[in-house]
Amino acid sequence: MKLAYFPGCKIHFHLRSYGEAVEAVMANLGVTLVRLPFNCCGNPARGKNLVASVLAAVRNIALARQKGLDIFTPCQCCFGQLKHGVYWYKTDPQIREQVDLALAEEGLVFKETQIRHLLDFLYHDLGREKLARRLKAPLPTHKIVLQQGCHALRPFSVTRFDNPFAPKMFRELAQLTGLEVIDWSKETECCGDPAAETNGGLALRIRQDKMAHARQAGADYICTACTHCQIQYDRISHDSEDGNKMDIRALPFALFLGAALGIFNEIENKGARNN
Amino acid sequence: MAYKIILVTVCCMSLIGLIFRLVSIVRLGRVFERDRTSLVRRIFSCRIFFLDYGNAIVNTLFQARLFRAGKLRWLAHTLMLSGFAWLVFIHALDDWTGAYWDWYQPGIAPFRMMRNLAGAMVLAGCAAFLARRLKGSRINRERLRRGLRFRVRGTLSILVILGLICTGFMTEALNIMSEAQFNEMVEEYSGLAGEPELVHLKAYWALNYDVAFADGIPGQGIDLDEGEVFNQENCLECHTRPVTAFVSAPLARLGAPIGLWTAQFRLDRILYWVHLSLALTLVLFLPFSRMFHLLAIPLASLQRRMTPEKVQPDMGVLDLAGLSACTHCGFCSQVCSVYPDYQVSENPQVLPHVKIETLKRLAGIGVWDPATLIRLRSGNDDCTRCGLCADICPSGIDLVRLWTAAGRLMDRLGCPDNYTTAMDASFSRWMGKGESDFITVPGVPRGAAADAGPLSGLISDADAFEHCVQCTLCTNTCPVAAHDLVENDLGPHQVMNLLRLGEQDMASGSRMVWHCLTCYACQEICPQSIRVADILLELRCRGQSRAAELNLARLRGGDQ
Repeated sequence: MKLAYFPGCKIHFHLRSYGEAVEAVMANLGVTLVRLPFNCCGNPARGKNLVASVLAAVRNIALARQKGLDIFTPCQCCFGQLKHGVYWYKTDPQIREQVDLALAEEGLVFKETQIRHLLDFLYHDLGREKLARRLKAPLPTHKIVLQQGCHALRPFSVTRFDNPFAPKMFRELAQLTGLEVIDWSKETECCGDPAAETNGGLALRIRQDKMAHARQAGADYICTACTHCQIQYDRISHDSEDGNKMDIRALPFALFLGAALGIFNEIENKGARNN
Repeated sequence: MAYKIILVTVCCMSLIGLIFRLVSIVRLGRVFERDRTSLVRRIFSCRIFFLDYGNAIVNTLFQARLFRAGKLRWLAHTLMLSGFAWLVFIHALDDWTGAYWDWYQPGIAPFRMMRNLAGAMVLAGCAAFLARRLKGSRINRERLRRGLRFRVRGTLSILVILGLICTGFMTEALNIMSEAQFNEMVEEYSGLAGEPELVHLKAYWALNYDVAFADGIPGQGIDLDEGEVFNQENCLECHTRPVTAFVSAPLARLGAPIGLWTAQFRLDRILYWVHLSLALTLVLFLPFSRMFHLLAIPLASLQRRMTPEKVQPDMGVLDLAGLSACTHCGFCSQVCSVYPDYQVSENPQVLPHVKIETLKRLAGIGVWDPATLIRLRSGNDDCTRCGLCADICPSGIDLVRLWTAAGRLMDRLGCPDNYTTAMDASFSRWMGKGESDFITVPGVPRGAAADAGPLSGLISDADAFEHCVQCTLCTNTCPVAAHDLVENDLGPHQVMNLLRLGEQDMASGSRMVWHCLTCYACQEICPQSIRVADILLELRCRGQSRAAELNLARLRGGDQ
């Protein structure tokens, strides 16, 4: 099986280990990830220039379609934005006209293609039974809480990812690997990353609050499936007095899965950088 | 002797220029960082043992990064660099380097051939560069739009090198066929001057060495064997047959008639001086021309690259050595992740290679045009720091570090990002009335600094928000409202209410709009199916233009 790999902007410079884990997992599952000259998904431009954000998303899709491939991304913000781009492209004729013009400059034409996030690829395309058969090393029973990514989950009318109020895909997949998923009240709440650049104080307060709740719930790790969530939890807490006391590590789901598939021996050392 | 004196003088001047250039780079960096340490300490404070010497050597000698970025361009560079290196060390500096081979003579076969080969390599490189300049690409389009100045500056150095090599070949061709030089050499190195036997040597040289004698090859009573003997006794040590000069010798044969005619005013000497002065021009302007990248690239490659962990502490350091290493090759803009932003906004300051140009100018002369600064701010804030540009940059400039530092630099120059402007603007300033009305600054019409493209139209469509029942479910689910009790002002439901009152401007300046995390919790939960988050985002788009306007007005009106 071949998929167009859309790592997003964060993996290349900020989160190499996240990308390595995803690629290792996909290779193990027999999926060939094809790299195309993608640009940004367009998410950062959504609050600045809607047309630019739609063009960014649609260009990526047109590019993948040109090669006859579906898009696979390990980032929930990218996933949501790609879907959003298609939504606006189809809804707004004015935007569509402008985007088509820009696409034509490169000889591209928009045609829809499937957009898959790591989780819904595992859940729908590969299937839980097939995945369960491939699992080798049962994980030590880590207790984890899940961080659902906002942009994949909401708005459901656009993303069609999972139940936005009671998501089950991530949970079932995590349980499959032998992890103990603990309920916590903050599962579907935003990680706070979008505010990090501009309103650092807010981002920090959200992170601290979520970490405190995760600890309280008795979790060993927070499990993420989005590069932005992962970066937010990895952020250096140099400006928080009690940051270190509350810190609880967040690890990408691909890493746990990789361990369950027998690719990685240790979770901790392969994990994303910790402070 | 005259050559040596001139060469040493020019080298000294070039060296002074180089020191001036390097010191000004370091000093500029200091101004931007508001660093009070003395210049000398600053130069020596770079941790010499921690520099990346391996990278610098590999990237300079073998141009490894360029090889990865573009094979053809690497070939052109390598041809040019290796050819030039040979010419500089073995040909131009032969007064010094010749001493290492006691058999070195510029006129014997191996050196003749190597010189021609090196010249041909540089010529091929030049041709490739010029061909690429003429060819259009995605990035060249932007370059063309930016006018002649940009193109000429980049092409000038290539033209000088082209002239240098061409005059070199022509000088050698003229030397080969010059009768005057033949006579001078005979005078100086043989006892044959004025002797009748000289005709034999003359005939031998005319036939075998392509010398063009004014009175032709003497026909009667010539003994070529004797000429060969004379040649072996007097000439062969320094002059082998010129056939190995595979460019100059055919040139000499083809140009023999012209050679005869030009011999009367000694064109060979004139061309020699043209050749020499072109070479000296290159040396003299090395620190101030495009060629400076020969030195700046090793310098920039010495620095350890920024890692994600060091983004915070390293933020303020503007890497001026890196800035001066940019050759405007445009690879960065070809891979830029936010290229679509440029396509839609047509703001060239989104593109990395344009940003570098602007930053360089900004570093040199400060804010010269507020509108450009605003565009640079907007373009630099669009950057996602994905690091693709830094990865492909053949000069090895640490571009992620540069973009981060550029943001800080613009903060200091009084051009904060739109978020900060929106937060700092008073209500009356934002709305454009009251005591400090920035809108009245001459030359700043509303919308002059427009950032946002067409909007989605939700905020001007009453159907999109009018059936809000003010149930406050959105505000109750909003993480900003929950965690930002002090900083935040309105809840989403109140923003909806402002829209219902027709106060779009007021709404676009509210903190809720700028703090929104875009988590869409409000939109998902709204029982009236109002697209709350989409509306907040559209208001922010609208606010971006307003904030940029305020920034521009402040920069135009001076510090207030």
